[in-house]
Amino acid sequence: MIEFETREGENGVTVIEPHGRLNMVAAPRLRELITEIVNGGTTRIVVELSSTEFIDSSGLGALIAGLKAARQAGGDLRIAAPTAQVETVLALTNLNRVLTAYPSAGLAFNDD
Amino acid sequence: MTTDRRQSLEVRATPDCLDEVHDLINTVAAGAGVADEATVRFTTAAMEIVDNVIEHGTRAEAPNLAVTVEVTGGWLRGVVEDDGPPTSLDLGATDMPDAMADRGRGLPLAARLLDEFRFERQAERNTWHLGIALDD
Repeated sequence: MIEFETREGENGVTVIEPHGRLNMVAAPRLRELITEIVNGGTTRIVVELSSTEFIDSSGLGALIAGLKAARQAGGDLRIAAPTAQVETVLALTNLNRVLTAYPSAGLAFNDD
Repeated sequence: MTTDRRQSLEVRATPDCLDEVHDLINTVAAGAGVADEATVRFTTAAMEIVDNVIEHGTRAEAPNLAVTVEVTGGWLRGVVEDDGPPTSLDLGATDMPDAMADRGRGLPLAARLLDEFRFERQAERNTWHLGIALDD
């Protein structure tokens, strides 16, 4: 069963760290979590994927839905430290063009 | 070099079965000595197919799902069978949806990952054949 760890990063960023498999069971929970965070006023979100051992297309859908929600609220959603499986899936779906991976959560919003 | 392995399971196609199917693939692939990269490709594709079967059923009327994973003859192969409603789809339609779409990537992704991908509807069963050619 997946667990989502949430922590406050620097500069008003919230970091979500999914531990486990981000599959069709877990994806709706991630969507809800991001919606709650954005509705709570935090619009800069990093999803730290170093302990996300697996993602499927529903997990990707949750990331894209979160990206849209964050941008509509004036912020952004970025990803950090993807595992090899996540990188493969991002590349094959061309989503590496809209979800640029940063080496670590701390670097994801370093440029602005 | 891989060693031959084969294992199956039968479950109801509900979200509860996802971990069981995932673990079955990992067990067979690891036991056979399949390289991580091939295992990742196969697992990702197979789980998209199982997602698809679950989405076509309902929890009240979940299809019966049979999954067989096999390593033999230089291939990692899977057969996913269900007795759910007919699935009609075009396995040649592998275009990804728009980047900001939040669904519709599952089957195109599976098609890109696999070396062999076939679907047939026979005797009121949907059968998916998946294969990855191994390097050894």
